[in-house]
Amino acid sequence: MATRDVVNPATGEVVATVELAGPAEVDAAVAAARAAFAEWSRTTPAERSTALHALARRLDAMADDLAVTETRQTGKAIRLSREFDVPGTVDNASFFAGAARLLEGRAAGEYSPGHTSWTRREPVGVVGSVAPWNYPLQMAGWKVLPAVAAGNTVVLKPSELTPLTSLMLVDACRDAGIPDGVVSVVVGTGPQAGEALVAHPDVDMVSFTGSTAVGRRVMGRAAERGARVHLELGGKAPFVVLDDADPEAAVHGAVAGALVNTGQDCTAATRAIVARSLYDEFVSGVADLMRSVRVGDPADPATDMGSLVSQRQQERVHGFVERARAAGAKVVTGGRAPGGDLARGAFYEPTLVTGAAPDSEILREEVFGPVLVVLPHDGDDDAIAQANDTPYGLAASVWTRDVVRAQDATRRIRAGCVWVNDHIPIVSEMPHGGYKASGFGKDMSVYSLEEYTNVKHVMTDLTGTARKEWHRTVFTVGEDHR
Amino acid sequence: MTTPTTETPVRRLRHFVDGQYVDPLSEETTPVVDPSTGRLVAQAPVGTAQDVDRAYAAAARAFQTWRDATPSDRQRALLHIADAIEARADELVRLEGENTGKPHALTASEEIPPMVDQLRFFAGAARVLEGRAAGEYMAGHTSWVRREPVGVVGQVTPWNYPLMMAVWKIGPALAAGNTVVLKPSETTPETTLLLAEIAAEFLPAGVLNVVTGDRDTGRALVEHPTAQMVAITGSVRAGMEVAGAAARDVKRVHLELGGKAPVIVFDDADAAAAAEAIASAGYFNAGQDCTSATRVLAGPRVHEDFVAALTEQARRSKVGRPDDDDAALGAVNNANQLERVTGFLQRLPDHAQVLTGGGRVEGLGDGFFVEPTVVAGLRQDDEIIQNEVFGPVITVQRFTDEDEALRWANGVQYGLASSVWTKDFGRAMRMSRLLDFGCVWINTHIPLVAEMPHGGFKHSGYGKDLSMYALEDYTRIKHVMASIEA
Repeated sequence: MATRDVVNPATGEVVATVELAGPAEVDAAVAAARAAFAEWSRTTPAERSTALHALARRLDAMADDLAVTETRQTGKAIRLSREFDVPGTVDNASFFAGAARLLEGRAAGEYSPGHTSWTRREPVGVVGSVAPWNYPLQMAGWKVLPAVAAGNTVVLKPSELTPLTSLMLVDACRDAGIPDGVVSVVVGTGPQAGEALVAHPDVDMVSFTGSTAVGRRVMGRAAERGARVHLELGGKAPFVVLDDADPEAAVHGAVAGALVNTGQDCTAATRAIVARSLYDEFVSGVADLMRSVRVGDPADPATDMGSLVSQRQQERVHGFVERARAAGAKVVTGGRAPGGDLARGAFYEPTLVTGAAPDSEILREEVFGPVLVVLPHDGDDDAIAQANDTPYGLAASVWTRDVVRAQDATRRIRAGCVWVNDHIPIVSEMPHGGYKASGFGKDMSVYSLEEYTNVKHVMTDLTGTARKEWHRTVFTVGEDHR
Repeated sequence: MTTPTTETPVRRLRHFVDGQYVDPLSEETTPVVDPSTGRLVAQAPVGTAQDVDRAYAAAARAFQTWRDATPSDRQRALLHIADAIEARADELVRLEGENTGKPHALTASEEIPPMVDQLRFFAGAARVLEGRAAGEYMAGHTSWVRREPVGVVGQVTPWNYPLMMAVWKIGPALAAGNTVVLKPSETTPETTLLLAEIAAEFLPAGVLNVVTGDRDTGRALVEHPTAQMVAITGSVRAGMEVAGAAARDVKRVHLELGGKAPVIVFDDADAAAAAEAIASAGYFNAGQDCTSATRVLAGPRVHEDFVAALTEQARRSKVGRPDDDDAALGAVNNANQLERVTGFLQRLPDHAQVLTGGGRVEGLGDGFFVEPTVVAGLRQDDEIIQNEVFGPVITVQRFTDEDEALRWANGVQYGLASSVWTKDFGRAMRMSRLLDFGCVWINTHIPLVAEMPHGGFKHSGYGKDLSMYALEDYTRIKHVMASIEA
């Protein structure tokens, strides 16, 4: 079996070496999931709830280990791992433990006079999930928890760059008493393991979080056998500042929203669309705040922003900035990898870009790095038109103190989440998922749980008669003899 | 089997208010008697209007913070309480036995696990409140729905399952963000006080308050102006009083009242299997369960076999003290209840046939033990058919056809629970539709699940316990509508 080193992108040191799965290993994992489905799908919601509560407790007990491992494999600041990634996943587990018992169903009744109808919600079957490297544990949780809560079994393929916390999650599942085969992890590359998983004939549903380009391919492969698809793809979130916004709040919100997880967040603020009257103040405020952000050793709790996930990602981010600069945009601050001690890691300075042309690459494409582009707007209509002028539709924010303008913007922005006077917070209870090229299917919330269920209508005859009234629409044979 | 010989001191109980036990504001007490011995075990204060007022003041203060706890915070608190109940199960079981006479083994296996599970269910449910989609239902206006806690809630619980009924009341109320003043039954206050003590470790002070007392205390609780809602599990008479009192200042009311569950055994049912299940569902908790399988309607051909099998089951159902692990049922709850149950049996009409049981158990000392009883030959208008006995007494009537079975089944003032026993799918479907009860079991009787609602029709009250419906009963819905035109 081929192996691969998991590298700490902040230092270049090897954290672990993992074996890479290919089609044969995927096949075995799917077979195990299929075998486990027979029993797991018949457990009661209360039993699944108990198992997920035990998982939440187990993850909580492992919290520090998980946070340290997450930071080592991703380069993200340890404060983020400790205060966001890990507690978020523990809370997701508690939430889905509860939600498992609250499946929606419309009332049973006689919707036709001679029949009683009711609905059942049943698990879909074996789910093949592919998760990205930006929030490895959280994304694994978003995939695994609702699927398992609904009675499915899951084969998860984490990114080969960041498999370690997903493997820890599987261990935690075992420790929590979740039967073998209910949750399996196959570590491998997209072309080798990912492709085999999404194209597998015994995978009933495919769930993918990643780029839009790969999402299209995943959907295509699933479509070949009519398998259900759940896609959470890229984003290019607008950050819309109207002319009555609190400038200080907008500046702080923009820097936090752009730099969270070193900008490797599909909801990160990437396009600040700012009222012309506030533009200069906003740009200078953001630049100042960005310069004060402490980039450094991710393991140090004093560090604000860690490294990108890999050298390759660093090159990719820098390439976007360089091409923007070449096309005439101005880099107000950042725009380079820091030197000194940080030169050996995949670091990148917080970067603010202005003057980008409306159709330029840096405004259209997802950069996935600590890069914010600021654009001026000439009033609310223009701001919202610019906000919507993107193939993506995952998240957005609007900054205003006006009740009418806030309402209006929340309605007109075409994205799966609109924040008002904030950007980034998520809660387990509420859905996360996109419009347009950002995909479809929700993560978190009961909507996510429902994505992993099939709805069955049971309709039963109430008349006890052999010949039903409606048969005459099909045949009238024997009517005369009744 | 032994009768306790060492005299344990009589415990003096106190109210639990604002996070701690507090001395009552009056000297008056009521005796708490162990029903399996008749011995006095505790004296409980009779809460006065001032005691109730003090508790409501604490609940009102606590509401200011508890209403703002996130659903996630409330989930965590309730999960901790559930864990703590589980951890202290032995102590709770013994105390419950001393107040109710229940067999310890059955309390441990049939009551503690479900109540722990129910609390965990409500913990999770706190986070998935229903709301219709926000949107522009009128042009130029955005509407959305908020679900908010009702406020401070007054709750009154019965003596049949003192601790579990307290859990049913506080679970949804606290999950939804309300604060509570709860009055347990005067005969069974102890586990409820201990519950409040256990919960206080995980709840802000004043979120859950317990005031003990009698009917007058209950009246003060229901009439208090701070309460935005009152909930009671109890008799139809008590429920009507509560509803009447609440009507004076339009408080919201939640009533889980009596029942007289019909158990319809059709000719195609397996008589022996049905008899075994029905005896278990009729005698459990000495029949002191508002969903008890106490009113059997048997088909003309199955009647004889069924009655014989049921009588045999009744004879085999062992009555015993709480420490008797083989006991299927314990004492009835108190001297009044003993008198009530035996009174029904003494007043039976001449056409009634007592096939087994029929009176107090001999040989178990001064405890309030009643024999598992089967009475056949009854008519629809007999007192024992029309009124809730709340004791280990199962009646059997013989019906002639499905229409008559249904008419008799529905022909009572109650509408809480029912069951139908048949192999015929079509009949099961018809009956499940036509039975006028808040629950219809098919080929089973008595199981509950936290996810599904429990609550009655007709004089059995309104408002659901358990399930998301219960949680919703403890919320109020706010429509927010905003003009989105400048």
